[in-house]
Amino acid sequence: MTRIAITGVGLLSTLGIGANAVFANMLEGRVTTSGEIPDFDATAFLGDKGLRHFDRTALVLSSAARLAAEQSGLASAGYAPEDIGVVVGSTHGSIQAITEFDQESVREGPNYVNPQDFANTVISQPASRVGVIFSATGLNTTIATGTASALDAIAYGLTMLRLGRVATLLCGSALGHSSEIEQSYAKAGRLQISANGVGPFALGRKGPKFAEGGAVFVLENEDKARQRGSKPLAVISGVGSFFGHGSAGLVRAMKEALTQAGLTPEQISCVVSFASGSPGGDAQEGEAISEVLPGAPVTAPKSQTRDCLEASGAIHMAVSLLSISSGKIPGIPKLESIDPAFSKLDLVCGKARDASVKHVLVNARDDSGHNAVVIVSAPE
Amino acid sequence: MRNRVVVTGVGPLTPIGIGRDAFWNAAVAGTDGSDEVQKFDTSIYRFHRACEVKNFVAPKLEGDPGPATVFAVAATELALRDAGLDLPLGEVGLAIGTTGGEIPVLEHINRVRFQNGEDAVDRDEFPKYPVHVISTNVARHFGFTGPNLVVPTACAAGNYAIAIGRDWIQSGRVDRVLAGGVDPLSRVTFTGFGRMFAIAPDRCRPFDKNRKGITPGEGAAMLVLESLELAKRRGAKIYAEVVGCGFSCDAYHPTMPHPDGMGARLAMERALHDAGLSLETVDYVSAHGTGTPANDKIEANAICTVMGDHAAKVAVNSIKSMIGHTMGAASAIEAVACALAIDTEVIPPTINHETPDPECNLDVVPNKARNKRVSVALNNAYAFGGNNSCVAFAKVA
Repeated sequence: MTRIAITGVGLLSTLGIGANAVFANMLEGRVTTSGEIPDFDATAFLGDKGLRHFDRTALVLSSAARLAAEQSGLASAGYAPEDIGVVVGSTHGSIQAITEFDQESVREGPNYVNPQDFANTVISQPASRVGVIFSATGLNTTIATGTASALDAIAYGLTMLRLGRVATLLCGSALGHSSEIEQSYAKAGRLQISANGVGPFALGRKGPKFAEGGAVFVLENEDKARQRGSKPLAVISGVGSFFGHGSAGLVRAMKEALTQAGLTPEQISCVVSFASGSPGGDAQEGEAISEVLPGAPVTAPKSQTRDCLEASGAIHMAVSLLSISSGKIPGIPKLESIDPAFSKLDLVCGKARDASVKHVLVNARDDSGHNAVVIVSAPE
Repeated sequence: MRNRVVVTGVGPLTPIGIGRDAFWNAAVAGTDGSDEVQKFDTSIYRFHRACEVKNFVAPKLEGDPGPATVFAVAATELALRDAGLDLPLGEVGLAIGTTGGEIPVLEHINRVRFQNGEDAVDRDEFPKYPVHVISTNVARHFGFTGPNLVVPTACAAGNYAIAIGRDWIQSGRVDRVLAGGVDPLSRVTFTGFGRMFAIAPDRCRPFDKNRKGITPGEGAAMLVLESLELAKRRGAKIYAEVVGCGFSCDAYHPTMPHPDGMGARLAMERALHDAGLSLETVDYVSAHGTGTPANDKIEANAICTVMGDHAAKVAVNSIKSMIGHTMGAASAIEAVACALAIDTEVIPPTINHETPDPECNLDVVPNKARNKRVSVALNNAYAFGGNNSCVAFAKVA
């Protein structure tokens, strides 16, 4: 099967802008205290023209795409516009813009909304904005599987590349800060607003806290990337996706990814878990990891970045790249009292751990039953 | 050898008819499904007409989900029954396209907020909104355990879902998929298109010189896709084969199509290439044909450019003249039309066609259905963001 390489990564999180900056902060054990990316000025990445009607999700996504494209040298890679596609995982799209557009029409009347903002009400608009910026005329798809969306988008993107529908992809996910998400999910008991409280895998955890963020990757055929003189950051060696409830669904997806990658459980250097501090979600994932990958070191980036919902999978994939290149697995800060349910897991607590990181398994799941797994491997 | 993929069941839920026969009889008869909007008060709008689904008995569903789920469940039920399939079916893939998904849920929340304050909003309401819940709810209702996703690629979404289902079957991941699209009438969509002055004041007239815009619509359609082998083995009725898919993006503007129809052409060319068919094999194109001045002119030009001299021999229609623009459901309902045109050898008309537009130099099957053998049909669908798609269907010899 064609090997697909990652040749660029763009990452924005409340811990910083750019994959290296975010990862350095993670290694230092920093924990975000805000739901918004600090000092984020999209014009630094996208210029100051034409951004007026971009919503926050599109700004974060497009900025991440710019960082990824620059790292990979996409502009001078020799791809024709119709060879370049965009695939985005998103389940809330431009949620804040959608709800504000509707609120304005309720409050002021339907004839007073700004028609320029209407485009933001379709979930695929952030992906479309990226398409315009990069003249990517090959394909433009948005995939929605809840909080598993980012990794299911990666899986879909791999299929498109392997079928030759496009030659290269800007593929990832982002979610901009949204008071609608924060308030409505807090009301539903799915998110915590309080700054206090413990995080992933901790005893007494009450639920995740939300923050914005996003990550985009340049994906292309590994041989082609090398031919044009680009050194892959990593390769995607396997993906798995399975719809099914409980830990069993995630177990199936993890095993599928291992099979596709041709790897044994012992070969997995670490697991970037999806644990968010959700009582049920963490428990199910813990069970699945114990069953499939007993003994693998497990980290949980949401302990530092907070939960970015559908964008989390992409952010975690970016973390896996940095782990591979640096030989360091970020720790889970302030995990003082581990839930005994996870006593069998090798949780990387506190400080980052040095390790030879060759293959990283990244999990994503949604309470609705969506499970998606990607294995990222060191380039040869 | 990749599996061949065929359509063995159709479940259209449309403003002119619910279920295969009701929909097809109404389409062939040239029924106009538009009327004064019932779902919300349009007195403060400039526009008042839409195509709404009528005489629909909503199934009672667990958890009181939003209207997109209700439509999608009903359309899935219709498709399964049409395919002669009984539950449980186990490992069935599910791909559903949508533009706004459960956006009426959010509209309800905002209406309650405005009238009664945030405290009056039910805590369980917002989690019914995110788009992915549609396929999750449908899978749970029918017990489908195969791959499952929503593809929210706006008004081209139905075609995307069909293409994804085809990929799953071709690769052998599953041998049966329910694929389609859904969108209930949305106040946001009505407001937005109204504010863009893209809604027709009276009727939707695709490809007519005096066309003034879309008629907002609602509906759903699900199609049962199976591997040819499975369909033959169980002796299923086969409507058509899904032979090719093509996608592209204008990468031009958030709402306007590329003026030269670059992406529209590329999607058709790619679908034909994927199908391994020459353009001379095409008998029928189910156009995106929204009835807006820009879309129809650009699409007509793209069809003429791709088809060359053959364009004169191709029947092109837009059933949006009858069912309105059903957004993410549109290309799924139109895919049903392609499958039924191939099967019944009848092409439904483009109604409300009075004055031909020299800039839309197509045979649009004006006002009256036509008997015609259809070996190959192309289904065009375009979307905001310049998202273009084309799915090719063929008669199974």
